Amino acid sequence: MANSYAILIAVLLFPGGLFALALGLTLKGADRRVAARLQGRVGPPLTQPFFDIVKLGFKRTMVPDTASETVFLAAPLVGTASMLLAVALIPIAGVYNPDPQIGNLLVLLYLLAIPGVALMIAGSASGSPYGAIGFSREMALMLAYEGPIVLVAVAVALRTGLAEGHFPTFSLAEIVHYQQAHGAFVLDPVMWPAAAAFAFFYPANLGIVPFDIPEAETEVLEGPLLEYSGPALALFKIMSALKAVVVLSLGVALFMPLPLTGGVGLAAWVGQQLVLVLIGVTAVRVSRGRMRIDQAFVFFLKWPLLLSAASLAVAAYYTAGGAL
Amino acid sequence: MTWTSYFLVVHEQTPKALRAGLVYFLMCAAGTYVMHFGILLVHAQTGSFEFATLAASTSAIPPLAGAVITACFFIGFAVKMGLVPLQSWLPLAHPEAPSSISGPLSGILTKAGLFGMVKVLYVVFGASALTRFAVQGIDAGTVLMVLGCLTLIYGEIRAFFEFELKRMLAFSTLAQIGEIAAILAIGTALANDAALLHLTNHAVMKTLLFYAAGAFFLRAGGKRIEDLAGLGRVMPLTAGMYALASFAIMGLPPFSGFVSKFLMIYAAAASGYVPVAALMLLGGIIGVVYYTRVVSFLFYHPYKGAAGVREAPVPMLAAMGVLAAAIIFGGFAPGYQLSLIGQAGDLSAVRSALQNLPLPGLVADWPLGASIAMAGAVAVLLVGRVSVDWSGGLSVAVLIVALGGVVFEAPRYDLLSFCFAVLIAGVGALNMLHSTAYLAHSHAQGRFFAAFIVTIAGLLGMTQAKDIFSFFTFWELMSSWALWAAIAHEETPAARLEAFKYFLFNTVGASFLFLGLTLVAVEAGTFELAKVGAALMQLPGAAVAPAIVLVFLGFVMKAAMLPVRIDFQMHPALAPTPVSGYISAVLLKSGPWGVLKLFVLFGGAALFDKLGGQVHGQPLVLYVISIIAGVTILYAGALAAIQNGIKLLLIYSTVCQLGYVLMAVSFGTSLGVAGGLMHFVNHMLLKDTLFLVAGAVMVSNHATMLDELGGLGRRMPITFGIFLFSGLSLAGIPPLNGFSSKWVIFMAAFQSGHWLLGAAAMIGSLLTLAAIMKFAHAAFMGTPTPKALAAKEAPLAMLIPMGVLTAASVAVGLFPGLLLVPIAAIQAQLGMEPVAATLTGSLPGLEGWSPVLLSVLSLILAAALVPWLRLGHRAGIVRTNVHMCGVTDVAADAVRASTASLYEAPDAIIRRALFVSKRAGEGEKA
Repeated sequence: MANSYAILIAVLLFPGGLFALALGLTLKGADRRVAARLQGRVGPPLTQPFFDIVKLGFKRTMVPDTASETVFLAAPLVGTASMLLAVALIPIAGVYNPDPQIGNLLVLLYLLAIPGVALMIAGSASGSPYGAIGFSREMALMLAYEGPIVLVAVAVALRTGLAEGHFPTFSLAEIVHYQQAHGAFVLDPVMWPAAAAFAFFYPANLGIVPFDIPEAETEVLEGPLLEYSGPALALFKIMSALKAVVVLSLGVALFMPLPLTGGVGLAAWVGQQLVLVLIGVTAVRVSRGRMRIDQAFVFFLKWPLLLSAASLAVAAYYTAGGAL
Repeated sequence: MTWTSYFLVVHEQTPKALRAGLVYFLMCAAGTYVMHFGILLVHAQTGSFEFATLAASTSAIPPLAGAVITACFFIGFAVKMGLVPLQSWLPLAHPEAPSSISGPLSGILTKAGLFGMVKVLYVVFGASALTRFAVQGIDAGTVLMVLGCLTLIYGEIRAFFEFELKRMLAFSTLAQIGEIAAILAIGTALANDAALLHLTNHAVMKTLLFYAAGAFFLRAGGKRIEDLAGLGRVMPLTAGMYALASFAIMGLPPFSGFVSKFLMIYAAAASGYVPVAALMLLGGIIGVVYYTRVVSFLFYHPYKGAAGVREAPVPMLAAMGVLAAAIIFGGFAPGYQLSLIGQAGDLSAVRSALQNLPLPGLVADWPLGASIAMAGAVAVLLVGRVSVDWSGGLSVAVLIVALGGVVFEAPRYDLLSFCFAVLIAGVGALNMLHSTAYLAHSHAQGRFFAAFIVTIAGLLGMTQAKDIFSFFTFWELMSSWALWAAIAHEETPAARLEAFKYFLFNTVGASFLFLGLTLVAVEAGTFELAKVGAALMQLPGAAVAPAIVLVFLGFVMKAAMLPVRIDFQMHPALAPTPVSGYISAVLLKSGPWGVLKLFVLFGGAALFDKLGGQVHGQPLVLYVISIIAGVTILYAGALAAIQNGIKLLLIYSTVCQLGYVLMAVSFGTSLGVAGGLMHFVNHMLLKDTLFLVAGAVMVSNHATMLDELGGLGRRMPITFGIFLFSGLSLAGIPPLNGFSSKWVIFMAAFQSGHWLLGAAAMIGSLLTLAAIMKFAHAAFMGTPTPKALAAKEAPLAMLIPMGVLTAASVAVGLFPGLLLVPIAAIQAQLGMEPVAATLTGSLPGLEGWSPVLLSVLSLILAAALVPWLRLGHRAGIVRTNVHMCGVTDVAADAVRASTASLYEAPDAIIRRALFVSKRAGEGEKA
């Protein structure tokens, strides 16, 4: 039973649960603060996202009269729960190794689809036409970015598994372990196309500029979120903060785990996330404009898909000695 | 005989009849004179007219005289038979004679020619003498075969383009005679037996058809096929017997025509005349077209004739009844006929010094479950004429009893087939229950229920088949006429067309399987499935390759894979929804099931390695199937995502999911087969639920397109909940059951070296998600339509089956061991390495995770979040209007996004990539 307690702790306290929640909201705060500075504003304090959540918790819940109420309210719940769970699936190099019983990279990839689905259902269930537009855009965007991420995952699994002389491995612990022993993939030219494809994937997955098309405030009034208020809206904000943690720590685990352990390892890991947020999210979102959905769709079918396909081919070629 | 029948032909005394009689008389008389000359010549050579003396002295006839004699006899008989090019009297004479005459004329008199051919050429002269009389190596047999084949094709094609019922039947007679002649010409004992058996069967079937045609003419007065429209309503007995004889003459089980057709194809294949067999199958496919057309007019067109048309008079009915009974008897118990034929065949065999082969046992082995279902179908049909409710209840009861029959006979099945049979009967009972509500306001329910049950009987029989004949009998029973009748139920032009397409497609697939299976039986020298494998192992790869490729082509077609255009297969969208659900969920699974079962029975990897060797450790045949299935996943998944029809979308998604099953099974690895079988069951549960939901939605809204729906979730919350669960599970949302099995398939793909197929499978899952979300949005969410606001929750008879299926999905989602433990036992029984499985344990293979653990964790997390969500309820939930930026004067319809434009960018790309025109799917009513 000790095992179950360990899993429960991993899901509820660390690295999932409360820890992930705090980390996610802090990253969000940092992002807002730095973005404001880059735009020449003062910006909110780091703790502003926490205040927002608490404030929303004390508001009333409003449900549109055209909505299917149960589904409308369950959507943020399911989305948030899935992300809390997902955090516990990702190892932190030298600090945390997830129990294999709760799933590997393939499970994680599909868990990652749930927030998108929750948003789609939210927009659709509200009965609002803006929600429907958000629904449509979210799905199109998912169709665009899921292909590349699948290929990237397979490339990493191939590189790790075949190098260790067996099947492609989708065990994240093993992938991290391999890199700790042989050097991070981000330094391995064979994996550069994969890393580049991943770099395109995560702003799209997180729904930030230039890929914040489904929730574009200025066009569709935050689409799926338009009809949400109070604690339900807070849950969506939590979900998006957690998703940032999941996607960033997935990126770290796939490409740049550090050969450190203990407290130093953890601090370094948090540092990596912070840097990635500031470079990959904040800097991009203040310097770019939003794409149109058709532009984004075609863009993803061109560059990231090409990159990820190349990464798969290169990884297979250099790892398996030519046999695909 | 010739002049007496002349008077029968001209009985009507119209100019046409007189002319037909003249041609008939002239040609037959001329033929007779030619034969006469031959007889005189024989007398001159042997000095006797006695057959016995003749037989003894054939060796005394010099070759040239013999050739002339043979030619004379041949021409004489050929005229009588109506062989091309001496056929021209037949289509004139048969339709002009009164029907009571054209029946025997077509059924029996033409056989006189064949009889003479057999009697004189084979029994009296004998094959050795015929060979001796050959001119430049072309003997009477070769001529007969070529002419027979020509007649077959000529007859089928002419019948195909014929719009007058009796003329069509006459041309069909020609085709059948040609078929028999070609088989007769093969000259083996088996072929003679087969030809004689078909000869007797055809006599019965064709006589019945002409009698029925006469009855139609008598009562309704129309000669053309279109005049028959809807006559099945007013003359149900006559039309029913006509339909029965039609199905029999198409060579479909469980009727006598099937037995003799099987025997003929087998005989042709056994003696190496595969092209003849293929030609017969081709002819059979054409036959399906024109015979189905008539039956379709009889039953599935509205009645336009005069009121007061009555059923045929009793003497006619009695005559037809006797013939119909003979057809059924010949189908179920061909033994009596066979032994007679066997004796007759022996005579000619002895004379021709042929090896006397024992006939294969042509009695299908009816297991208890299938027998119950078949008997129940008849009862349901009868009860259906009295009370719809009772026949519906009886149908469900029959299937539950059939399920009991399957369980009762459990030891007779192998485990794989037993599990499949249990699911067939169980899911069948649920769908039947649903359809009693679905068809509550429909018509002719009894007919539909009966057809549906016959389909299920076929499936049940197929799972238990121990020999090739039984297997193919039930295969045909499952997906031929009964399914056609079930799909065409709605009686709209579109439904008829789709049912017909489906029927045709299945016939083509079954024809491949037919030829393949008979070749397997021939090569292996046995019909018993259990012994086939061992026998095939003795043979070189090249000998068995065509047979096996044909068999597997049949299975791949059944599973609706590429490269066969799936659109043709996949349109039973217009069938009543419970039956489309059943087709998608259960029936098409016979493809993967057959691949797995016959792969093992044919000797497994050891045999398949001989067929083109291995590719990366996988037999070539299976490697090809894997790739076909993988491409189909993407292709059908993309097509599903762009559909706008309620059922079309689900149907394409079925093809996509079948791709997963077939791909995983064809990996042949322990994990692959386990994952394939898991998905086999999961998809069965999930897709059937989705179809039943679609049925409930269609009934409550009278809609066929997604655009006609919207916002139903508020009024049908249980239905919506069930849809969302099943749909998301099917789309691969962890930790639901649809994801578990897909995960195993992904891992199996990567571990067997198919990285690209694994990635394709993962992306295909996303396309399924897109399709499901489109459905959920368009039907249940979004802006409600006026109809949706008035809709009611589905009736209990629909909710119960949906609920039971969903509960089963939840159970196997939490505890995949419920599936994996039986699967491991199946694998052990099939001689594979079983996967490690415990009832409550995690998924098999490396990195196996525990669905129950993940589910419990998700529930704990969600439960932990509920209090937070409830915070906002303190002041009660506030109902608001949807924010419209202040616009209040726009109608709800105007702001609803149409389904077609929901995924504009992906839609456009998919259409461009797959060459699907912009309009495809939009004009479709489904």
